[in-house]
Amino acid sequence: MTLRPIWSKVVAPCGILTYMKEQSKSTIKIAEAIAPVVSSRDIVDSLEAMIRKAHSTVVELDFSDVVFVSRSAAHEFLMLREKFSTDSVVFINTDATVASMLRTVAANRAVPKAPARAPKFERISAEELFAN
Amino acid sequence: MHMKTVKVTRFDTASLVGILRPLYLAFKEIEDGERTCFDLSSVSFAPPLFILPLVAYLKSTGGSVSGSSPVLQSYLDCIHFPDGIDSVSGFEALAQSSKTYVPISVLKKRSGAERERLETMFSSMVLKVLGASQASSAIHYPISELVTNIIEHSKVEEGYVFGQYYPRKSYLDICIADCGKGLAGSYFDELGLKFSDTEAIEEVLKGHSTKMNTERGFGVRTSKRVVCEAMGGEFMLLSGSAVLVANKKKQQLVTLPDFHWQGVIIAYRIPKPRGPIDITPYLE
Repeated sequence: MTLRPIWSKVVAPCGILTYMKEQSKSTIKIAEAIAPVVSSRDIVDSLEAMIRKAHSTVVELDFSDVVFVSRSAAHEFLMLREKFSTDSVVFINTDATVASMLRTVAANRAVPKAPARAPKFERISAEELFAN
Repeated sequence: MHMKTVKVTRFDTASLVGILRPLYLAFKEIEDGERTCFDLSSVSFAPPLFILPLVAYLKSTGGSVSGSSPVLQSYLDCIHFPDGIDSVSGFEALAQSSKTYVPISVLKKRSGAERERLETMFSSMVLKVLGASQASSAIHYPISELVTNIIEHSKVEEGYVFGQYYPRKSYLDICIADCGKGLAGSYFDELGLKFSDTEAIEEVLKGHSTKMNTERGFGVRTSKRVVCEAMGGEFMLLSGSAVLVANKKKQQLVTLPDFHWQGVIIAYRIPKPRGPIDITPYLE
């Protein structure tokens, strides 16, 4: 899915009527539209409606003043961008923390990391737990 | 109308297990959903792992507390017990009057961006009280992942989060709770899988999502790793009649007899970070 371009009627110098694609651009400030810490998937989902309403060929998701994006939210941002195509939804002004989270999740989507070895589950009784 | 009274025993704060014990002993006396008066006359203070389940329970069933000492009552007032704060404006007003105590926050599923802003204020205040701006990602990560987990999976309207920093002991306790369908209930409702409470906790820790998406299900496991491995803390996950208690070296799964929490309680304790903490190696 890509954002629908807006075509304008243009009369070329030679007098022929033609159409030209308007390169309109909108910006959504994430810190204002959501919050400086973005945690939830559902809230990122709600951006989809805002992007559509923007009626622009390119929508910039501006992360200035965003201090943290959870892994879940980063995953949702990446899926959202894929949904519209990476040319029509772009991320701008990501600070080091936010950029690192987006890169980590994107890299893991491409090549999933082998899960780390966790300590084995030790099954004990409540008496043993509270006696320790 | 008759209300049962349950006396709360003293907390041993040396570990989360020492706080879980009085919580377990109090709640094992209560039938599911029974209106109860919790007698706090034997306790001099109340940590998040006790306070927050109490808030969640009182809000869902009614009931009350009694016998609080003046010091304890003053603390309970500071943290806005039992109603908590459910709006950004309410949190802002309280943050102005108290620089030390982070209020109990009530996160409402439907309030969307307002909920995210309230959560931002909560985690930012925790960070400020803790004085650990260099380790901000390590502080934000488990709060954001675990809160979003509760909001998405509990299928109830409200989730609760609360934290307390203990400057003399240099550690922070955080608790997140809901009275929702619980982990085993989520697996059954979403995927039709029947798990016991202990099995459901194991599945969560293996990273098996309750959603039909293989790219999901990492939140709790990676949060546990950040808490235990990156920060050297303790982590506890309780649902139904089972609890997981974990630190860097071990994870213990326990069935709690005669006890059932309808929903999920997550608690963790982290020592005050002394420098930057890179969480990237623990993410998946």
